Parts: sequence; C-alpha cells; structure tokens
Amino acid sequence: MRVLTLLGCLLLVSGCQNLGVNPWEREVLAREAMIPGVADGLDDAFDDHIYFSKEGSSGGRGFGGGGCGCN
Amino acid sequence: MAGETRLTRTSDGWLGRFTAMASPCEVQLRDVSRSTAEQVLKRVAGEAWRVEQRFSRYRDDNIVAALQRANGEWLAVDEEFERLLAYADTCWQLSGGRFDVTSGVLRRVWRFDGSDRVPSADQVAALLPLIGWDRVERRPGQIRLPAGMELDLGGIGKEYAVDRALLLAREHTDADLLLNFGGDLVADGKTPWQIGIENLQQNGVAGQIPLARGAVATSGDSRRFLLRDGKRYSHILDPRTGWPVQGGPHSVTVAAARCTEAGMLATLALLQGAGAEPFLRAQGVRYWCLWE
Amino acid sequence: MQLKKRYQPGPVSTSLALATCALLGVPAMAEEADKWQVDGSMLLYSETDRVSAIEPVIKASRTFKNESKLDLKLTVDSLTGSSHNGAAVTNGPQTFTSPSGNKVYQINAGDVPLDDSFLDTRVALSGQYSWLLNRTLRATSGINFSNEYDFFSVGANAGLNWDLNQRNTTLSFLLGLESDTIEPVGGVPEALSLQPDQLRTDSSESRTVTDVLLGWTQVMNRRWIMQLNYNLSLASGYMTDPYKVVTLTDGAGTALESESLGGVDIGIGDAQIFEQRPDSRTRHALYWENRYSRENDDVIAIGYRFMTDDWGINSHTLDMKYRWQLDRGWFLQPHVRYYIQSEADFWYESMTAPEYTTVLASNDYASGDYRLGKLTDLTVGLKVGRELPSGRKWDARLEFMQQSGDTDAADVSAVIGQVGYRFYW
Repeated sequence: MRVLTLLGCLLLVSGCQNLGVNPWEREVLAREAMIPGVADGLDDAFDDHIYFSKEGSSGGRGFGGGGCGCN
Repeated sequence: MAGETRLTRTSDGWLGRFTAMASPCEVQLRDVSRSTAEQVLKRVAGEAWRVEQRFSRYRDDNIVAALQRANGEWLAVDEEFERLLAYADTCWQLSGGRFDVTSGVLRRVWRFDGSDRVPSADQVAALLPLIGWDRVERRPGQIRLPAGMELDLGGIGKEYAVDRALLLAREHTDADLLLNFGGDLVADGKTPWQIGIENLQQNGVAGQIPLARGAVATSGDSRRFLLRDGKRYSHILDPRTGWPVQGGPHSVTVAAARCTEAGMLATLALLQGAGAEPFLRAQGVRYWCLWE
Repeated sequence: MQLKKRYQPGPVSTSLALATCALLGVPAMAEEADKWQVDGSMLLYSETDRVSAIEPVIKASRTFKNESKLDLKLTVDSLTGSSHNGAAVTNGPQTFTSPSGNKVYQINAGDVPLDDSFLDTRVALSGQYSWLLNRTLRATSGINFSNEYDFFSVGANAGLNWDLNQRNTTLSFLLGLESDTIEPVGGVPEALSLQPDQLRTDSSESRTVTDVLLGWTQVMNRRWIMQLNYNLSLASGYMTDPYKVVTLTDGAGTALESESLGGVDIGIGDAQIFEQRPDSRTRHALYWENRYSRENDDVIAIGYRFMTDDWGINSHTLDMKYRWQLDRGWFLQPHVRYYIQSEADFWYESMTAPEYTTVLASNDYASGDYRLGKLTDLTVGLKVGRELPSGRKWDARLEFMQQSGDTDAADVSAVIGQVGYRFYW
C-alpha cells in the first residue's frame, strides 16, 4: 500500500511538466506566508515540540530540531 | 579590450572617466582613498569593455558574430549568454512580441540619419522572414538561429553592463557610488546624488532629481528619425511589421531599482507607441516622456 | 482612470524586477543578504493542574553572497508541575514512590494519579547550513544537541533539494540520525517489576532514531503551492518511560496490594508495575500541505498528516490556518488543529493479576501512559502580528488546547501563549 502511494507520487511528479508558472510570475509565491516551513516557522517548531510531548505521533514536516526527554 | 581611464578629484571624492559602447562613461565615488578609487575605476571600466567585447554586434570575434556565421547550426553558449537569452525571452513574452532581439536585421534598410530615405514596403517585407524570436531554438547550453538571422543585444547590453559593474565595484568598497554609462546610470549609497534628467525640462534646462539608491535609464533618441512628406518616422521599429511604432514619445526615461530593469521598461514603453504613458503609469514607476 | 497608490509595482515591472535579478544572479532580497536575521520568541504553556513550561528561543539566520545559508538556534525549556504517571484512576487510594525512589506519595480515590516532582530545564542548540551544488541542486546539513539532567541527545542531518521544471517542482531527500542517552534519576528501573521493590540498575540507557524524509513541493499555479512529504522513522533502543507505571487492579476498579504479589509494602494500593515498551519503533507519516493566496493577499493553509506505526498507533492530524491580511502590515490568523489517535497494542488502562502473570512470563510490553492511548485533541487559537517596513515583524498568539481520551488521565486543558519579534543585525 505504501509502495503504491510512493509510485503514484512519482508518476504525478513526472506528469507535472505543465503545472507551474514562469519565473516572472512568482511574486505571490515568494511571500513568506506562502512558503511551507517558513510561513509560520517558529510556531511550527514550538507546536511540533508541544504535540510530540503530548501525543503519540511526530514527524512529517521535516526534522532537525533535536530530541528531548519528554516522550 | 582595454582603453584609457582618467581619474580626477572632486569636492567630496573622485571622478573616473573612460569610453565604452560608444558612450562617455563615468564613475563617481565619495570618501575613498585614491587607490580604492583607482581599483574601482579599473574594475568598472574593465567590466564595461568586457561586456562590450562579448556582446557587441560591431565585432567579429565574439559569440554574436559566431552566431551570424553559424549558418543555422547549433552553437554552444556559456552561462552568462544563456542568462541574457533567458532575459530576452522574458522581455519578448512580457511585451507580447514587441521586444525582439532578432529584429536587428531591419538596420539594413532603415538608416535613421534625419534624411527622407524611407525603405519601400517590399524591402521591409523581404526582411520579415528573418525576424522572430519564436524561430530561435534553444537547448540547455546551446542555441540555433536559422540561417540569415542575427541577434542584437544592444537593447540590453549597456544597462546590463552598468548593473554588473556596480556588483563588481561593491567588492572593493562600501562607499557612495554613481555609475553613468552615457545616460544609463545607477546610484548606490546613503547620500543622494543630483541626477540630470534630459527629459525633465524646467525652464529649458534639464531638471535634476536626487537619487541615493536606484537606477535611471533612457530609451529612444530625439535626434534619430526620418522625415518624409511631413511624416516623422521614429527609430523604434515594431518587429512584427518592420515599420516604426506610431504615435509614441520620442524618448522615455524611467527610474527603477536596477539599470537593466529601468532601460527595459523605457524600451517597452516606447514600443507601446501611443500607449506609452498609460503603460508606465500602470507599472507604478517614475518616468519622464519627451514628446516633441 | 483609477488612482493607484504611488509606486505600487505593476505586473510587468514586478515580473521584470524578478527577471533582472535572475539575469544578474543576485537573490531577489539583496538588501538582507549582508545581515543576520534574528528571531526571538517565547512560548508559555500551561495545563490546568498539571505541567507548565516557559521556553525562550533565539534563532539567527544569514544568507551569504554565494546564496549559502546558515541557521543557528538556541532553545531553553523550563518545565514545572505534575504529570500523569501512567497509573489508573481507581476507587480507592493509591501509593507511589517518587521518581528517585526516595519518597512516597499517596493519591486519593478517584483522582488522576499525578507525579508531583516534575522539574526540568532543557537547553538545546542547533545549527543548519545549506549551500548550492549547482543552479538546481541545494545541499543541507546540520547538527543539534539537547541536554537535560536525565536526558542527552545529539543528532545530525543531511539532505538534498532538487529543483525541476523551472523551479516549479522541488524534490527533497533528507536523512537524520539521532542518538539519545537516558539517565533516569534513581537509576533505570527493572521493567515490569513492582515499583515498591525499587529494583534498579545504576546505569543509563540509550536509543537511536533514524529518519528519512522524501518531499515533493509543487507550484500548482500563481497562487497555490502544495507539499507532500513521506517520513519514515526507525527508532531502536530504550523507548520505555522510566517514570511511568501500570496499575494492577482486581478488575473492578480497586488497586491491588504489592505485598499480595510478593513485593514490599509501602502503603495502600501500591501494586504499580514499571512499564515496558518495545525496543524498536517504525513510524510512517504522510504529510500534505496546501497554501493558497487569495487576490486580497489573504492566505489559506491546510495541512493533513497521517501517521501509522508498528506499535498499533494510527493518527490523523488536520491543521488549518487562515491569514487575514490587513492594512499597513497587520494580520490576524485564526488557527484550528484537530488530532485523533488510536491506542497502542500494549496500552492498558490497568491490568489484572492474571494478565500481569502472562505479561511477565513472556516479557511482553505494557504501558499505561495516556499519550499512547486513544486520544482526541482540539486546539483553537488566534495569532496577531504586524510586518514593519524594514523587514522587522512581531507577532503574538494565544491558543487553547483540549485533550481527551478513554480515561480521566487524558483530560487535559492547556493554554498556549507565544510572542515573537524579528529584527536584522
């Protein structure tokens, strides 16, 4: 099931040649509020830490913050 | 390709002068030592001459000439040239085809020397098959021009040299700088420079604006035109028809963050003909038009 | 002819400005290239009757002329208060030992058992450096350290980001390795043993976590960007919480006595056993985020994460934000987060004596930690902030989180407050 999802994603990526914009049309996307991981960067880091210590899940958004003894 | 540079003192710094791209060029600096001024002048002049040598259509030893000789074959291009081509492509798209670096061949029939020698419709029509950026083929690191076509980067070259020279000058100093290549200029610093705008007439004298950071470029030339049967033919040619753009100002000056941008906006405005001013207003930039 | 604000850039001049920067090979935000971007921020977290935390963070970032980037971050995290120790809510009093084993405390009938002596200060440091390998390939690598009095973590990561389709598609591959050392106060307890017996080894434990992240970011159109990440996390080593216990009951809600099972007697209802978790954990997470900007510059952000692991936990997270862009740089951002998780295979609210015998005989896994049980979380909050002309900005947010699950132990309410300020230096 997971292998299928991965394959599906790869097929989607290769079929994405016609998706997207020209370089000079990126003014909206260049705003910080539109960049995943940067838009609410510090909030996300705090939240990831809170929910890592209050729940049984973690991960998905990226890593590199360091572990803690809270779970 | 080297030439002569001259450095003289000014009341608050230095003035360096040289000739490049058939224009008198200047570098002004404030509050630096003579040796720094010399270094900066050497770098700026060197870059101006380098860009001229590489991209001028008047030379036979550069990539532009090689393209003309390539006769329809694929030719390898380096990264800088590729970026210029990408830029030319962007401008072609943004102008709806009015800005076209392949339109230089029209020079063969249009000579704007103030006379009345206007080409015939047949002469112009004969050149149209050799014009069209969409006929140029590009691959990463390569370009192919159909035989008979040529590239003219004159519409980008001088302003590009100004911006490049500023980036290089900044490797030597943080001081206030003003680079002026024949009217296309960029200022970068804290205290404003007084910039003369030839299209800003105040009591018959060219007006001045203070500029601390930013660029000013002028496109068009009120002295280059043809006059026949009372009709004035401006030297701004529409590559889609081969004939001059009608109803527009004789020259446009634009202020923008960088010289390349300012120059291109001025050129794009001229290519709009009668729609030049609405176009410039819509872009939200400072501009000055000369109409007579 | 409509009046426009002076020098509001038009479509062509904006596009041309970007194209010019591409031509000259300079980053679009050249003004900030020579400065450190410093973000200072403080989190205040407070649960009703339980844990409180205060966490100041300072982060400094710098982009260099060759477009390489350095991020440095310092976090200090101070916790106080009490937290659930894994035991069940019973209809009689219960007795526990403190984490160090030196003291004994009692809980009244019907109360959620909370361990009162929870004090911890953590310091964490991290550095991340990224650089261009060529015009479309960016490498990144970083290290991080975290230290508390009973826990030490060191980690490193490395990855690649590959731009395709004129940078409309970015594929990411990241690898992370983390090594944790746990030195529980009082020593490592013997798993599944009775807490009153205080069977400890005077040692430390460790574990390693390996993370792999495959990411795909795609520009859909001028206003819409999407990201899809797959994260595989493999942990192995000591995963047990050395301070948590599972209550042995008679099956009818009354805690058993440790002495009836051959253990030491320290009080009423003291049959609490130290938990044991598997020594490996494989987690898969799929994260999908969408960001859409409206014509008026408002931004809608919706994120969904699905996680599943080999402990039997599956979870769904839905995170939605709407950024309401106002005049002169002000913005308001309401936020809703909904989370639901299923229980781990070895989660027990409490255990009977026969169950205990079976689990002990096969050295099986058991935990009463409510965070591994069925859980539903709802967080609602609002963030307000302002972007100032020179790139500086400040923001503040206030959120309320409500947790609930199958047991009273999981009923947690918390208030989250955060303030932040960004400046350039």
